[in-house]
Amino acid sequence: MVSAPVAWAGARALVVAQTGGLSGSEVSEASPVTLQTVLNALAVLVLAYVVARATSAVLNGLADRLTTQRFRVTLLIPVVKVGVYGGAVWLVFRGVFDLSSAQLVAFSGLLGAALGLGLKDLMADLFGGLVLVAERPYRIGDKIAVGEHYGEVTDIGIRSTTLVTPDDTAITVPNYLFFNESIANANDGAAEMLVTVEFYLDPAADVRVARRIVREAMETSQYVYVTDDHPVTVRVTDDLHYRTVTGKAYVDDLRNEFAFETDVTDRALAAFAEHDIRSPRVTPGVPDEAVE
Amino acid sequence: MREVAEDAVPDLPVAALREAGLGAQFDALEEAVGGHLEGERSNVAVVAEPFAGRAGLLAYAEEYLGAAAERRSFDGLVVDPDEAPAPDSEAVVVDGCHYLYTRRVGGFDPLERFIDRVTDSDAMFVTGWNRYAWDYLRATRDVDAAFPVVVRLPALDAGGVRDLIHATYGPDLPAFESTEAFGRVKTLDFERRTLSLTRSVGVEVTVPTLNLSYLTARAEEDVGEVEAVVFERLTRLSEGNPGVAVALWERSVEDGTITPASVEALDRSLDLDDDAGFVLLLVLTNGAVDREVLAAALPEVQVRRSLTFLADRDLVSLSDDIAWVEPTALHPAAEYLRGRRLLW
Repeated sequence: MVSAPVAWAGARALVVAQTGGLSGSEVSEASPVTLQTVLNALAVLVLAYVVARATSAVLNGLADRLTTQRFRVTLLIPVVKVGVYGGAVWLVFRGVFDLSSAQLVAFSGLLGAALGLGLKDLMADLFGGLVLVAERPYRIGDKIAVGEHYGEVTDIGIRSTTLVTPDDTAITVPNYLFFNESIANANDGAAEMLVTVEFYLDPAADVRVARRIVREAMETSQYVYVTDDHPVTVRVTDDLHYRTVTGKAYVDDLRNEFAFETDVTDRALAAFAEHDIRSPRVTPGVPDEAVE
Repeated sequence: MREVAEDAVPDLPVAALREAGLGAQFDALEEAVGGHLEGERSNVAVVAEPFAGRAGLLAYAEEYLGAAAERRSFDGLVVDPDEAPAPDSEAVVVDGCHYLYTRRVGGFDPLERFIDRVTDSDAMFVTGWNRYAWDYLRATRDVDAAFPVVVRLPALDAGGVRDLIHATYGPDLPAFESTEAFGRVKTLDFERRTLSLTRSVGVEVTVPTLNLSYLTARAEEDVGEVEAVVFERLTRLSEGNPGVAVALWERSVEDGTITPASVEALDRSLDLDDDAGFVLLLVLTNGAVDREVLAAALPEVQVRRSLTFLADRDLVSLSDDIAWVEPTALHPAAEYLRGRRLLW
């Protein structure tokens, strides 16, 4: 890993060497790095951090008040962060080195090469963050699955993305993972999301009644969202020892995913009991005598 | 039960509804009857918000059909499928069809039985539906397939509201007065709204709204008078709902006068938990519900507690176990439920 002072000294030397061939009118003399300039640079970075955090907090608060329309606001958060931090970095380099635009571009390229040798993962994360902001495979508020992780995106940073899992665990996922992994987005910026609920039935059970019960349990849930583009569907599949009734419907807000699933399951099972629709009684591979 | 809710708003005469600009809806009814007499399948669904004049339109249908029609009405939640009417006449006028279902497993049986009778019969059915219930049933049960003619009651404009008030109350209207105590009348209206700082803390702020008709007027005589401002405000707050406009009007008249400032809407920021939001939805989509019947039908929902909570916040009224949405709370409740995606 390249140390920061070495990288800076090397970069300055390269910039001076490069600009040595230019006329004096084209080159501005680099200002000496004093304690004042370093403190100014730190102040700019701290201010940028505060502004980015405050803006995020305000936008998140506004998004929560908008409930199902919150995605229109949350997509601005990573864009604002990139803008604030990008502007701060620009100000820092202009203030510390007092470079012209041409020198700044040259310095940026050399600095990137120097840092990339030792901090390539960090650079991958940073570039991944920029790609995420530009391409938006997901937004804050979306429910995504990446690798073994599944949860709601609560923050998209320059270096990492934060997911909150159903167990209320916050997972920080480095942005570079998104270059290598597939991302499954359950709602893609919409408030509603498809939820699947499965029931396993004894082969002797009345499947028609079971289908009707599952459909009505979904249609009457307080969390369901039904339109022509978001219908309720029920599917039946037949297996060796049981039948599977799969209900699919959209929940009105992805945050109600598990409440919807629980509500449907609870009421469907109660109706199954009333209509004598039973769960499969035979465990595959276990003789009936052993079960009894 | 329905009478309890409808007492919240005076009866809207048919003539008043026609004066207010709903003549096209009455004509659509007559056209459907004409189609039925020519052998077309012309079952009608009259779809409207609560208090919007649905009862008046159905009363007109019954009168227009004359002796050929029989009238049936559902006043509360129907749980027995056999209660669905089997027609004995050539035409049947049925109001309260939104009471034919309950949001529970097996709760659609009365509705399904009724729809079967509509489609199997040669009689003409003219039915009345709560608009919010209709939208839900159309999405989940395709109920519109049984009714080729759908008559929706539209929102009235300011002129329609004015004509409605004049037709309902006749020439003896209260005096229209301006007031300086609560802002100017002409250019700006001032409304008090509660701005929520946190979930439990709010602050009242005064929000100016422009009187566009005044700003765009060219001559002094074009400027909206106080009367026009009152009706414009009434229309905006009632969202063109005739019954809500009348309810707001009656609440705003004091000592024989009415001012723009006295025309106020329900100003309350709503923040309801899941059960309270769902119960509010059920009251809105049914118009009026019996608390005990609903609690028995939905044991997994805290119905009684939620209704008490809603009544304390003036969103619903409770009387002898019957709950209904107050006319002035109709649109704030609908707006809130729409934001929660409970109304689609």
